[in-house]
Amino acid sequence: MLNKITSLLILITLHLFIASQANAAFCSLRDPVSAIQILYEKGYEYRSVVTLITEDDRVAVKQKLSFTLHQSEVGKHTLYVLYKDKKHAGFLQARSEWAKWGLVEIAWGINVDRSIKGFYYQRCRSIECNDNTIQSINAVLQNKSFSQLQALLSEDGETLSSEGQSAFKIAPQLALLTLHSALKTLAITDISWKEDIDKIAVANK
Amino acid sequence: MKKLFLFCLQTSVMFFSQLSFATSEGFNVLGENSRWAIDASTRLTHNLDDDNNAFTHALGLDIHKVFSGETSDIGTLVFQPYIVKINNYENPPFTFDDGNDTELTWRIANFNYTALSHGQFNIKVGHFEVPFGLEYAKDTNGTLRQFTFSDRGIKGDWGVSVNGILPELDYEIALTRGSGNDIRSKGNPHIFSGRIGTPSNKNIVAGLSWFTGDVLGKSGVIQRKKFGIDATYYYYQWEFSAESSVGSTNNNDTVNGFIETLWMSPRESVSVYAQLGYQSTELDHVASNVTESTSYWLTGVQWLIPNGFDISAQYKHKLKYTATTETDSVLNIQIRYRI
Repeated sequence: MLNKITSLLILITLHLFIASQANAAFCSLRDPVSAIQILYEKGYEYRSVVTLITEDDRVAVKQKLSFTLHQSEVGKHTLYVLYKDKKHAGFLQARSEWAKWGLVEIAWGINVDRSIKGFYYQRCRSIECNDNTIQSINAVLQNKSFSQLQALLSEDGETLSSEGQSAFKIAPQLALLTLHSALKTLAITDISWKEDIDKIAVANK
Repeated sequence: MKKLFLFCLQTSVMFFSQLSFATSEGFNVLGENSRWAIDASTRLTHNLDDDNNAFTHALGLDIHKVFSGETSDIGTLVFQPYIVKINNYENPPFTFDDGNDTELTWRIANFNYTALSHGQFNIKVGHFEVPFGLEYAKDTNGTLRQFTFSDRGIKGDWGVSVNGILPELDYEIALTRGSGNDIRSKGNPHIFSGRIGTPSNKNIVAGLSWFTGDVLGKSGVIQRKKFGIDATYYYYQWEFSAESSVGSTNNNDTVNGFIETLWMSPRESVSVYAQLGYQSTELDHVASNVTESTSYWLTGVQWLIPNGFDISAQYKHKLKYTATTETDSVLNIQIRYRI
């Protein structure tokens, strides 16, 4: 009995010191192979770079934007570094966003200069997430930088700006959600993977 | 055995607490691109027909590590050994010697070599889920919610597979030992199985599966053949799934049907599901074509609590049963914790 109580106390103490992980087992982790095939087509290789997104990183995103990552996103995440002919050709990162009906997972293709290459819904259970909507939102976001994307949002970041409203005629709510995800993805990539990106830049000079 | 279980629990916790502190200082014994977790659970199984309570306690590791080269990933290691202790089981799973036993079990333990074609053609070696139907297409690792693996008598197996994701289809084709948790050669078991499906990221997913071979069970080797079709439709917070298969068990024709409806809360912390299953089997193919059938319904709920806790409950009710098949009405309650 004493052993059981000791074990339980150790577990609870340990829990207080360690950031918790997601509930799902790691065997459910999948590389975004479909997204890479669609966004980068043939001839690309990819390499995983896993890093820990911390509470400090969440705060740093909040300083760049008027919103930040969800608490549950603190933990280990993967940035996929794309190469073509052994030369760095971009990045890909999958991020989650909460919609009214649940989680939307979006894979973001990011150019070397950290503008948006394109996106792909890895999971979106709304009937709005069809090829037409994806194409129309992609057409607006492609090759836009962080500041250009910010211009599509209102100052408080909660609605589309007048520029954003005129750009997103189809499915504006889904476009707003996708835009939030794009900005968070670019911000967290520069914050949490800074050291890795700097190393890649040096290696490719 | 009880002492061994407690010793393992404490040792694992102490080891991984050290590992965690090392990680926070920038040193990780598993190296770069790795993740790990401790997974502990306790499950009560109450058999309503026999009025019997049985318990399953599991403590395991969940390690995930990607090995990478200069410009591409080489492969992924998933390693999930579990110490499982069962108490008071009247009809224990095949892996255990009796109803009060402790065993080292393997959920997933394999290396998937991904360097050949960037995810389109991979080679996997080790212990993995036998590719067939919904069981393979969805993640049910360590959860009460399961699909149709009991029809085939095996969920995970040791072997080799080719797998990958192509623009219009996902596939895995496997050749495995047929003995489940342990590699055993008694009766020369083996399974050739596979599933070819539409991309799993779409809202409508369908797959074709096959399973043929000799599966080692409590009573020796059983010859099984299955050909199945499965489909899932995701609609906002709803998930509708169905699977049907035809085949044979020891040359007696079988037909299986399964449907499930699942609802998730908007934050996906609570999911509620209901399943309906049906099996029909010929009694003796040589003597006549007389069949007997069994069916059940079940309902379950899973509550994912922040900070790694997960509480779930499930009730299975037999609708139609026979003397030759084991289909008891069962209530399960599980508490799980992942650090």
